Amino acid sequence: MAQLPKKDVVIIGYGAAAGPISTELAKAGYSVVALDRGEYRTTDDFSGRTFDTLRFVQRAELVPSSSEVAMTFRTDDKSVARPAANRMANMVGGASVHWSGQSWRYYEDDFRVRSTIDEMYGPERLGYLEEDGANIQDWPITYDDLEPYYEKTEYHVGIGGFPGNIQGEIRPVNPDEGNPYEAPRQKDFPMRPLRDNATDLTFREGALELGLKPFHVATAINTEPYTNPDGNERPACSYCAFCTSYGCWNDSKGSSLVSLLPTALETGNMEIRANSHVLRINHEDGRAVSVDYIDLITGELHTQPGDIFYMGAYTYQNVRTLLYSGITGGGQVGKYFINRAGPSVSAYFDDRYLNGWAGPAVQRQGLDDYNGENAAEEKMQLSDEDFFIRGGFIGSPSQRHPLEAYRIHPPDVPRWGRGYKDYWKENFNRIISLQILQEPMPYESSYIDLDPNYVDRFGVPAARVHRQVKQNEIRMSRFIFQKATEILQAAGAARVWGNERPNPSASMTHDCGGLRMGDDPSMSATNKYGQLWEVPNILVGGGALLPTMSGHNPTETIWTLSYWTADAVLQNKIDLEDSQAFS
Amino acid sequence: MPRSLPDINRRSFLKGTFGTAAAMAVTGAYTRDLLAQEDASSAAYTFLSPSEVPTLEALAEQIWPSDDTIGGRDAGVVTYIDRALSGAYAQYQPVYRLGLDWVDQASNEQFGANFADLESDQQFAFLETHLGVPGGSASASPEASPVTATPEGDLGVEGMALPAEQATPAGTGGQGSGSTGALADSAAGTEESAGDGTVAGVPMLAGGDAPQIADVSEFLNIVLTHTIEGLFADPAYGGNRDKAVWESLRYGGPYYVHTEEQQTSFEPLDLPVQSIADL
Repeated sequence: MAQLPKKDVVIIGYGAAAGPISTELAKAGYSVVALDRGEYRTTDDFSGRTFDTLRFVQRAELVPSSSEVAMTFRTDDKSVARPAANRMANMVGGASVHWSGQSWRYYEDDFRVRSTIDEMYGPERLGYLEEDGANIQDWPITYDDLEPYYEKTEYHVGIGGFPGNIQGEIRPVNPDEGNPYEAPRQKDFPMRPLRDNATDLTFREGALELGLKPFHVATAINTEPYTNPDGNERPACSYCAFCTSYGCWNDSKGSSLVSLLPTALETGNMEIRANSHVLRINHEDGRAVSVDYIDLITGELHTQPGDIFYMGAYTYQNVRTLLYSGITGGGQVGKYFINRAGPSVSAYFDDRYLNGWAGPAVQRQGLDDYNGENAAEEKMQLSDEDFFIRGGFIGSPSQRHPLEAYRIHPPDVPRWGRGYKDYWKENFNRIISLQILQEPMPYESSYIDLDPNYVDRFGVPAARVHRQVKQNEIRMSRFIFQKATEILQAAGAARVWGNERPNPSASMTHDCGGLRMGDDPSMSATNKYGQLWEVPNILVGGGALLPTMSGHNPTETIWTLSYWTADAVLQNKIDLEDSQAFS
Repeated sequence: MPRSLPDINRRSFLKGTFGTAAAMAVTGAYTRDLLAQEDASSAAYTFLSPSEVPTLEALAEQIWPSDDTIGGRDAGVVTYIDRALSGAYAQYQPVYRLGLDWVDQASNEQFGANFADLESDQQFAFLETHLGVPGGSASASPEASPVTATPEGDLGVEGMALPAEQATPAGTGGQGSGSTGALADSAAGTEESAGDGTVAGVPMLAGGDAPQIADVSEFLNIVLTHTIEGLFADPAYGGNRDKAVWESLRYGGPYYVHTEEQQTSFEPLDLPVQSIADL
C-alpha cells in the first residue's frame, strides 16, 4: 500500500456536488485531489456516434454496474433485500453529465416544511403523518441564506430561465412569463431557457384552458454562447435530442465536468484521479486522516492523507462509505432517506403530431399550481381521508426516441403483435407522457444501512435501501393523477391513461436524505454547513444533506449547497476541530 | 483519430457558422469503419445454430408482423440478437440455448410441431398462452402496466434506464425484460422474503448473478425486449435493416440540429431518415 503526499482537500467522488467546492477551494490556493471511481470522459467522447439509444438508454452505458456500486432494496424491515438498479454515474462529473439540466431554486417554504404545515393546518389534520412515522424537520438554513449562492450557481454553471420574481416583483405576461410562485431573486437568469416545442405548446394549451399557470422550466443548457464569470466558454444548444442519459456532444449542457472543472484545473491546484474507488475513510480521535482507495486500472491499494474530506459522490455511496468506515453519527447516518414515487399520466392525440423525438428531454413546459402548498385552498376542502400536505410538479418532456418510448401505450394495447405495431405506426409521433415530481416525506422507516447479505466486488457490503409509501404520498398521487389527466384532456388528447399508484423503488435519480443537515445532533447528521457532527473535518455534499426534497429536481440546490459550504471554509465560519463551533 | 473533427464542429457552433453539412462530415468515417467490420461478420450467425434461427425469426415476426411495412424477420431482429449474444449479452447465451429448446418442446406439446413450422394463427395462440394479450395477463410480467414505468423513466430527467445486467429476469426478482426500462420493476421482487438463494453468513455479489429463466414465459419476455431493441435500435447493430422500422414509424433518427420550425410543427416532420452512419 502506497502512502501518497498529503493534500489540503480530498474529494471522495467527483459528482455534481464536488464541482463548486473543489473549484472554489482550488481558486483560493488549496491543493485539491478528487478521487472518482468512474472514467475521465470528456466532451470528445460524445458526438453523433453516441446518438445511440441502445447504448445510452437501453444499456445505460453511463450508469455503473451493480457489482461495483452495490445496492439492495426492500419495502419493509423483514424481507431479504434484493439487488436493485441504480441511477448513479460512472464518470468524473457524476450524474451532472447525464442529467436533463432541469434547474430549480427551492421555494422559501421548501426550507421550512415543518413550520409551514403546522401554521397552515394544525395538529388535527396532521395526525396521520405522526401515525406513519414522519419525521419532518425544517432546514437549519433559509432560502435567504442560499439566495446569493443560487445566483452563483446559475451564473457559473450557466442556467437559462424566465424569472418569475425579481426582488419581489412578479414578472409579466404570456408568452414569456416565468414561474409566478418562484421565490424572489436578486438578479435575472444569465440567459433564457430552451424554446417551446409542439409537446410544450400542447401541454400549455391544456393548462391555460384550465386557468393554470404554465411556464417554460429553467435549464442548465446554453441557449446562446455563454462565458461564465470564471471565463469558461461554451456554445449554444443545437436541440439534438440526445440529452438526458447522454453526455452532451456540444458542451452546451452544464455540468460539473464542463462548467466548473476546467476552471479548477487551470489553477494548477486541482488534480482529478479517475478510476479510483474509495473504500474507507481512516479516522483517529474523531478526525479523518486519510482514505484508502483502489486504483481500478492497476488494482493497487493507495492511502491518500488530507486535512479536509468532502463527500462528493451520490447519496448511497456517501452513506455507504461513512458506515463502512464506522462513522454512524449516533445512528443518524443513513436515516430519513427520501426519493420520488408518484403517478404516471400519458396520452395520444389524433388531431396533431407532436414529434416528441425531435427535441431534448428538458425542453419542457411545466406548472407548480399543485406543488408545495400552492393548492392549499383546494386541499383544505378535501376530506380527512383525502387530505395531504405538499404536492408536486407536472411537466411535458420530450426526447421520445423509439427505444425511450416503447412502453408508452394504454394498458389495453397489446405489448406485441399486430395490435402493438398498429399502435406505434399510428401514434409514435402523437404521444405525451408527463413528468410528475411528487414531494416525498422523511419517515423513520425510510433509511439506508449496510446489507448483511450482499457485497460489491471489493467485498464491501451493499447499501441497503428501505423505502415505504405512506398515506400522504398515496393521497397526493391520487390528486395529482386527476389534475394531470385533466390537463391532457383539456389539451384535446384523444386518449389519456396512466397509473395513480405511487410505486417505490431504490433509485429514482432524485435520491436524497440519509445525511441530513440540522440544528440538533440527535436529529441530524451534519450542521448547517454540511459538516459532520461526529467527524468535523468531513464535509458532506449532495442530495443526502436535504432534510426535505420539494417537488423539484435537486441538482441546482446541490450545487448551491456546495458553494455555501465552500464559503464556510473560506470565511472560517466552521471550525474543522469542532462541528458545534460554527458561526 | 476522428476525435478532432467534433472540436471543429463545436468551434464553428460558437462562431455561429454551425451547419448540418459540417456535422455530417464528422462521424461518417468512424461509423463506416464500424459498419464495415460488422458487415464482414454478418454472413453467418455467430452464436445461434441453424436450427435455432427459424424459431427466433418466427418469434420476431409474430411480435412485429409484416404488413405494408417491414416485419421482425426481414428487419434483421435475429441478426441483432445473435450479435448481442456474441457480445454485450453473452451472459444470456445459456438462456437462449435453453429457452429456444423449451419453446419448441412446448410447441410440440400444444400443437405437435416445432414453433417455426406452425401456422401463423397457431404461433399467435402459442404466444397468447405464454406472453398474454393484451398487457401480458397470462404471464407474471411486471410489464403488465407499461405506463407505470414511463414518467419514472423520464424522471430524471436525469432519468436513466437500467443496465442490462441489473435487470436480469430471474436475478433481480422477476423483471420480465432482458434489459432496462421500468424502474418500477426493481421493486417487483422485494416482497419475497425467501428463496433468493441468500445464505446467512455468506455474502453474495450484488448484481453478479447470471440471468436465469424458470419457464417459457420468462424466456419469451426476454425475447420480446430484445426484439424491440432489434427493431428500434440503430441499424449498426444488425436489426432495423435499412432503417425500415424507423421509416414505418416516421421517426427521423439522429440529427445534430432541430430547427424551431420543425419543433413547433404539428405535422409529421418527414425528414430523411438518418442513422448514425449517415451523420
